[in-house]
Amino acid sequence: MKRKTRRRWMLAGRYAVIAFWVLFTLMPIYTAWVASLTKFENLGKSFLYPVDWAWENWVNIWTRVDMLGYLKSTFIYAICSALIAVILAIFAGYALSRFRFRGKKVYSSTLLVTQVLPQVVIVVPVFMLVNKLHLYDTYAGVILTIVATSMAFPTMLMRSFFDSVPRDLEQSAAIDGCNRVQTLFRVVLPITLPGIGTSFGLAFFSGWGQYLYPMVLTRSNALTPVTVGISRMIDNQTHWESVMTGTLISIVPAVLIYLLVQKSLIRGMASGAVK
Amino acid sequence: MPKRTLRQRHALRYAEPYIYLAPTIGLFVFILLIPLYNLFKYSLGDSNIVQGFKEWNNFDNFKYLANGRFLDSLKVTGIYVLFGVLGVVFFGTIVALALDKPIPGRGLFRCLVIIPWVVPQALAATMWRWVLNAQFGFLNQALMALGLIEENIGFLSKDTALATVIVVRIWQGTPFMIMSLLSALQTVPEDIHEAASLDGVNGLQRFFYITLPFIRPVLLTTTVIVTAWTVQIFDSVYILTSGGPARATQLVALEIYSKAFTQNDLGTACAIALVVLAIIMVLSVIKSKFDEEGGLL
Repeated sequence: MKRKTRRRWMLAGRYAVIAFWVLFTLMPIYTAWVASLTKFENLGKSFLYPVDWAWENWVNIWTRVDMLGYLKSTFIYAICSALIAVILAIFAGYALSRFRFRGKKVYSSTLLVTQVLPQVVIVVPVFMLVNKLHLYDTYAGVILTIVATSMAFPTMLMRSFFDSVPRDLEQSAAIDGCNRVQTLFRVVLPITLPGIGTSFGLAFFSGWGQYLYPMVLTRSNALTPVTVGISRMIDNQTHWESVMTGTLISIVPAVLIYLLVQKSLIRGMASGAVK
Repeated sequence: MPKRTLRQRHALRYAEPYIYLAPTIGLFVFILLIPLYNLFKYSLGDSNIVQGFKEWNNFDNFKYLANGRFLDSLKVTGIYVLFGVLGVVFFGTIVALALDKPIPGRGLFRCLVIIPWVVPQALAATMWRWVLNAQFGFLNQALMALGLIEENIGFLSKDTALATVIVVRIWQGTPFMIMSLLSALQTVPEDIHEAASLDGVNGLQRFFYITLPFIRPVLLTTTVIVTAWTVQIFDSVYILTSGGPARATQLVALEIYSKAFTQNDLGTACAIALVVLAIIMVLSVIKSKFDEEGGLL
């Protein structure tokens, strides 16, 4: 009997912790949603639920600011950096998995350094370098920087996927007359598709959220991503309903991509790629 | 396909991995070699972002590191990192423990608590600015409606801003801790818990003597990772407060940015960046030590 009541208290306690944390976690998002459906003049009058149901905010945001332009440049940053990162990660991961060569240790540790290197530390010298290369205010400059700093994770993930592909498979392909590149593309890559998908998803995800690099490395409106564009809408007379609408619109793709890669991400974590 | 001589094939075989790695090695030069070299160079002289390195100035830039303004921002960073990380560890642990055993709705809750990790920092910051808004913000209104406060609180005013950005940091950082700990908790054998509960061990003892030793390696490694991330937070604090008011939230990361891009003092910015780099390197070494020793800790 005593154990039963204790168990009940334990359960209540666990629910209390979970309820508190879930409320805390969702508060900003829920609040943003309420604001996004409130007319400017009614902001702050009702905070628990939307009274106006002002869906026009979701329509007006596209004309109030260059939302489409922001989303377009964010997509370009995310897609291009993810594509390049994945292609580079396939080759680098393959080399690390299948070859023994001089400098492998140095290469691996350098790769790790790119992963831990703080953005704020290198953004200044990178800005100078990008300027010198005449890549300031171009997509290329930002994408190159994003790829270089986010390449380590996909590379290690691909390496661990390649490690799990039996070598016999490649040998039999070689006997059938495939050269190494053919083997890689026809035999190995199809097996590692989940790894490629996860790498792409994560790289996309990281490109989507970039703020500091595009802010420092670009100037023109056409190259402004959502993160920078939306946060610039905050001034003295902020139209919070628009800021919140824009924020929610910009979060959706990130969440979708995350949900897509979530399963294989956990697999990657289990296989030790994330450490 | 042209036939290659044996020697050519050998050379190719030797060069092959390097061919695959070449583009990424190029990127290392772009993101590491040249920037780090320049970081040192700029820090050693009078430099600005238009002309770059101008002239040697007797370590003048490093004198700022002993300046009261910088020491203040170092202190602000210290408080931010300390309480931010403590909060992440504390809440991460209790939420992970609460979600560990089967409980109705667990799948949904696990999904929900991950959300802050998925929201880009900059966008999380814009949402929080609205939540914390001194006039109309959700938090002020909710507290008012509950009768807990009588007048609006300026959550981002001089005395409160640092605490507020720490809370936002905890909001962002905890999901990663929860995820890591949930996977570590799966390694704790079920029967030990049962045996302990038969022996009349209470919940707290059970946590410290049974659960903690199992999850300790993961807890330590994750804590170091979270610490390293917290040291370099820029986006969210920059959007929330821009380091203000009156430098109350001027983290070292923000100091680098403002030195370089608003005060046009590239040299000092790079000197500060070297300090941050050193902190991160120390943390990386600690983490790799933890990784090596693994289960022993």
